[in-house]
Amino acid sequence: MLGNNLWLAVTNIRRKKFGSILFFVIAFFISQSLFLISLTRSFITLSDFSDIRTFFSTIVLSVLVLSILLLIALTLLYMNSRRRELGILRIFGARKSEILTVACLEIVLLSITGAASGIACMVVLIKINVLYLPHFFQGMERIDTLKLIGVAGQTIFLVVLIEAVVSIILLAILLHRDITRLTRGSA
Amino acid sequence: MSIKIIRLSKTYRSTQETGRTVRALNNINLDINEGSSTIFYGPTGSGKTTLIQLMSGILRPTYGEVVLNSIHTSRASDRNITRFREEHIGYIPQEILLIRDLTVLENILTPNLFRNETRKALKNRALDLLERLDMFNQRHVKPYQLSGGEQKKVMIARALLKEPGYILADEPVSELDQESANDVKKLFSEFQKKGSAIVVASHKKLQMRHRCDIYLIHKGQIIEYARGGRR
Repeated sequence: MLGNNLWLAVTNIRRKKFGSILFFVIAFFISQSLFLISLTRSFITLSDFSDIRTFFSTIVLSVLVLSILLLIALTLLYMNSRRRELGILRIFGARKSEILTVACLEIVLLSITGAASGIACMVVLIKINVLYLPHFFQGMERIDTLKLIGVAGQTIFLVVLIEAVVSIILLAILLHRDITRLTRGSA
Repeated sequence: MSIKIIRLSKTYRSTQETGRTVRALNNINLDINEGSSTIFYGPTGSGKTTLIQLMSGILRPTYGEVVLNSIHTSRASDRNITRFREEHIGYIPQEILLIRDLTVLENILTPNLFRNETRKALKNRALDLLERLDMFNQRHVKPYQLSGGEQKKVMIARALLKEPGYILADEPVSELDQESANDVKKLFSEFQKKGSAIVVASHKKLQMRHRCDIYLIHKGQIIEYARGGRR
């Protein structure tokens, strides 16, 4: 039942503060990188100076790759810390697909809020010229709000997809273990 | 509805000697039917826990067969076995298996929320069970703040919440005081009257409130059978 699954997801977010902050923060940074990449590809012409263009692309791509690597490493740690709990759920009859559904809901909720905050933050920084460099964000003023919302929506979808795919794959691998092995070890 | 155990054997890899296997159960044959009551007696290490875990589909047999209704656990898919466990089995493990940072009430509700029932209905039944087990006032307490006996009662309430067809209890009253043990036995008796089969593993003699089949297990084999309990 969706209501029960949603309650479980929200309860897990509330009590697993470390994991929740982790997924939120990673979504925050991935969304900013992806948002800037989308903007530069679609609307904004970057500075004509190739050095600046290379510098910008390097920074953005580095943040993106590092965030994804960090996501994989920390998700592994986080899911492993929850393995006893997963074992308990499995012993009492929760199917793998049901556990994955709740986990997916958790990730979706966290990555949507994280990505939305990241993008909002980036828009504010650009608008108030904190991220202003001469000729750097040329064309920003020509983007109307609707187009900006479109790019933001696309970015949020992509962030949710990245976080959900990474965590679901890692969780599915963990759930593949014997139930009795899952219940051993950390709480 | 029945659980059939046919020439069941279970071996483990030894944790002490590499390559050596330990036979936990050897050639067990049993039939557990709806509304029946069964007790497995035996010293520690006799194979009671393994038998209960095989009957709930948590473990799979090495030889022989455990048939849960029509599901043969040696070859059925994990999905089918889990579905049977979710719908029909209330398992009470010997060790304390509670989620540390959930409250007592949340611990009882959480594994049962995957069933097709509303949270409100489950919560009402959970509160009723807690009341019956004299745990109502501790419903918002975390498990680590409870004594061993109280933790066991939480696990009993969690297993009974789904009103299972089979209650498989591993040492359910060994850590409880006399009064709490009587509350648990009374609850089991009520569930049996409603049609649930009760299977209890215990290392010490239990005085059940109802007629039951008693099996003495030693070194993985049933060595004695008797009818016991009182009407």
